Amino acid sequence: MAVKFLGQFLLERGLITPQQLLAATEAQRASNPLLGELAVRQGLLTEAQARRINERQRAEDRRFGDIAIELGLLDAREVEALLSAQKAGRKLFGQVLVEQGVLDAETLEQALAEHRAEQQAGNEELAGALAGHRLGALAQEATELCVRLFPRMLGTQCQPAGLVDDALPTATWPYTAHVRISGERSLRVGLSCDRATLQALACAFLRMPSEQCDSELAVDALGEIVNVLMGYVVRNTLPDDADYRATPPDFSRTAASLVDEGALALQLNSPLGQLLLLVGD
Amino acid sequence: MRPINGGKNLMTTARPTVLLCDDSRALRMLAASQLEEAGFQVVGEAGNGNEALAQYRTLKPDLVLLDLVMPECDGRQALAAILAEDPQARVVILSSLGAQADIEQCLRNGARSYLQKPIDPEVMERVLREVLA
Repeated sequence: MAVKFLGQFLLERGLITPQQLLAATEAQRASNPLLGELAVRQGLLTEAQARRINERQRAEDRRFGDIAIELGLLDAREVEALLSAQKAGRKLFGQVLVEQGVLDAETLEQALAEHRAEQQAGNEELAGALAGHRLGALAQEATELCVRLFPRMLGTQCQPAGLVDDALPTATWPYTAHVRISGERSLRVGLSCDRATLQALACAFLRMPSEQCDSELAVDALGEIVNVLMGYVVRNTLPDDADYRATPPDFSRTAASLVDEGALALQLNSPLGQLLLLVGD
Repeated sequence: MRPINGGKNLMTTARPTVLLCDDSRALRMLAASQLEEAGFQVVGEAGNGNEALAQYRTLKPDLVLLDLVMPECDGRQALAAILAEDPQARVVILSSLGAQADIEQCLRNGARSYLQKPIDPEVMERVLREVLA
């Protein structure tokens, strides 16, 4: 069972239209500024300072507030106040839909209950499948890294949607990049996606408009994203003194062929599109 | 991969010159804009170690930013080749790996410092300026 974002869940049930989904997402985004945006708005940071903290967040797996305090740009009380203000102003996606008159409260409640039940079942199914697999711990680690890294590296979220154990047609997942580590322990980590998702990922990573990003550059960016992901996996899973070698990103293999060799494929859902996270050894 | 500015090291500016070597065009684009913003001048880009060595000979940059994992001639080989050519070369490794053993090996082999991807522009600027000092 695939775990879905609420918007996708409602869309697939015909409760909202794609236009309503986009409008609600936009409104929710406006009600939920990033901590840096809020700090700039309140005059606590300049835009350059907020950007500096965001850049550091891209490189380090740490929270905005912690970095701001370390740099002496905010104190703990200011961070606390910003977090409270952020929480107070935050609107949930369903709340926005009701406010916009797209759904009534009763329909929303029912849909939320079904979505929660589906999410819980999906998460349990995923945890069960990973627990019984020799690559389960590694896949769990890589998945959690994606969840943490996507907002920092790509400015968007992602969530695991489940293990994919059926056929992986190349037409559905035409772009695959993977990196291999060999040494005391060998590892493979890859990402696979379709054309539209590839373009969206690359533009988010390179922070450039779509028209400036050709397809060759987009594929290259996918490889670099995988490189970064692998770097974190290595640091988090291999001992510090491990002797290993990495290969440059390989774009020649399909997701199906990696899975045929024993890799696990997990679907990740993101506003940028759907991806496969491939983890092997 | 061709040198930027026709391979000429512009003498009209005091900005430190950098040769950027990474097989990823995406990374080079990202790093080049961050370097330029930080006051460095990217005088050449290379996609593998052989190109890096060839460009080093021509450009004699103040700094080389060198990826470790590349096809054909990788960063370790390029580091050795550049230092054999010019023992004073300031080479800074740029890699997504970053395990302790890796870092130590590069520093023992003559790299001046080690930067981890994804690049934090502020850290990169600080490290490169320390290396130049």
